[in-house]
Amino acid sequence: MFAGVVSLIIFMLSASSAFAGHVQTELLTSVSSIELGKPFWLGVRLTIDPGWHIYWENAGDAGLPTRVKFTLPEGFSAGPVLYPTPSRFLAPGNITLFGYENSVMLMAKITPPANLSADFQGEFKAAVHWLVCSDVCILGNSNMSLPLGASGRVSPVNQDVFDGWLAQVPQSAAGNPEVVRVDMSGSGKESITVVWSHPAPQSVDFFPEATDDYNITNIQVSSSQDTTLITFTPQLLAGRHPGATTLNAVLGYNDKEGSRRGVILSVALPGL
Amino acid sequence: MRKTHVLASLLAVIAIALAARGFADESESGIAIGSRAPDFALQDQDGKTVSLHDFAGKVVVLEWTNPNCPFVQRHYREKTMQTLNDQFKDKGVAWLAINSSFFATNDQDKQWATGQSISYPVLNDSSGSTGHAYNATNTPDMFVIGVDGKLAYEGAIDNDPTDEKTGDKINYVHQALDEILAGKSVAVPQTKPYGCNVKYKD
Repeated sequence: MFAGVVSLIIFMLSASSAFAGHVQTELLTSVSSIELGKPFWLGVRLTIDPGWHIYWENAGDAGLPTRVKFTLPEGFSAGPVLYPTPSRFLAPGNITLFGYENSVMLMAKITPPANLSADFQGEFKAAVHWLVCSDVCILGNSNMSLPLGASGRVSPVNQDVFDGWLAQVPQSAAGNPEVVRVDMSGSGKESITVVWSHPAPQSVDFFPEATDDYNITNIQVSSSQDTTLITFTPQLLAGRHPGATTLNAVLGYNDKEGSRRGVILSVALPGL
Repeated sequence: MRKTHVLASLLAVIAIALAARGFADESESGIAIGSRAPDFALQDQDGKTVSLHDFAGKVVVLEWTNPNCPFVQRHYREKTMQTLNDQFKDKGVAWLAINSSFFATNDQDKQWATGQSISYPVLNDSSGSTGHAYNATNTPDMFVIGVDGKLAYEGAIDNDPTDEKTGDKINYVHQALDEILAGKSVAVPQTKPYGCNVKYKD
């Protein structure tokens, strides 16, 4: 009973929530109190009604990326907003969309100022904008605020939530023991061969980041034994003449435990 | 053992490559800029059949639309489409809105057109066949066809998907129409459309 009340109080202190049409949002922190010189995490968790989806930082053929903007007390700085590995949806008409169903958390590492005073107390704010779609699309947004200070007892909060979502943020192939080798080749039609340390996972998908100059078309992903082959055609938009470009992409898959994972791939495109 | 493993992987890659070839040449990006715009015959909000070839010799703007889409609603609230049509309708430019939503009806299109004071046809493509012929993916998704019947621009209405720009906003359709009417080539003939996905039947 006592433990229940304490965890409820901690939850109330470490989360601020809002609901707006098919999406519920909460602002979460990874610490109960800020520790001098120690970065921590802020995350916006979006809970999405069944049958609806929101979008990754590249929405795909249509849609709108979900965006988070953190507003922090003076002296604090936020790292880039991290997007977990998305899923691919195919809408009627062969329209490919990249995004999230059910829930997702967008996170940023927050660094306190070096001269943080011991009695610091401040408001941490997040503004989130999204487009949520099923048979219709609805624009939504939410503004949240969370009080956090430096004088309380320091203990991690929401640890499983942050650990779980951070593990879904795409990582480089070099740091992933599941990936043995990545080979790239091609001019015109690009191919990427990924050799795994085990039989190739199920449901491997390729998610290119947004580019102004190219449509990434004809994405094909197929696996056999321990090897996955990805091919695609980078098609220049009419009238564009870019120089050599690096196309960043995410290889998404589900690991043996069924958890979503992502590998960052960088593909060199020759340009014109 | 290691050698067999490598050989098996290699064979697997070749097998996958051969299997993937069959799909590889299917283009996802619709008709290319500079190629002939496909003809169509669709009913407008009053049930009258409207064809692209009715406008031979004119510049034609096609606007993929969906009254339920917030991006379309925003541009109608801001009168982006109506204003642009008003500016160019007496200069040899025809404007056609096309609704390829599976739920589109002439009645809904008429209600929408009346409510928004739309003076141009809103065409019912609920089968999606014209949308597929153009590979329209978003609402709005804009196509500008030159007097020669060839596609001169395809993509976004402007460079402001999140409705945040003020001074640096570029309306790509306005720009393309100005260039076409001045006899110039279109400097930005293709952009990435933004909006809701077209709610196709299949």
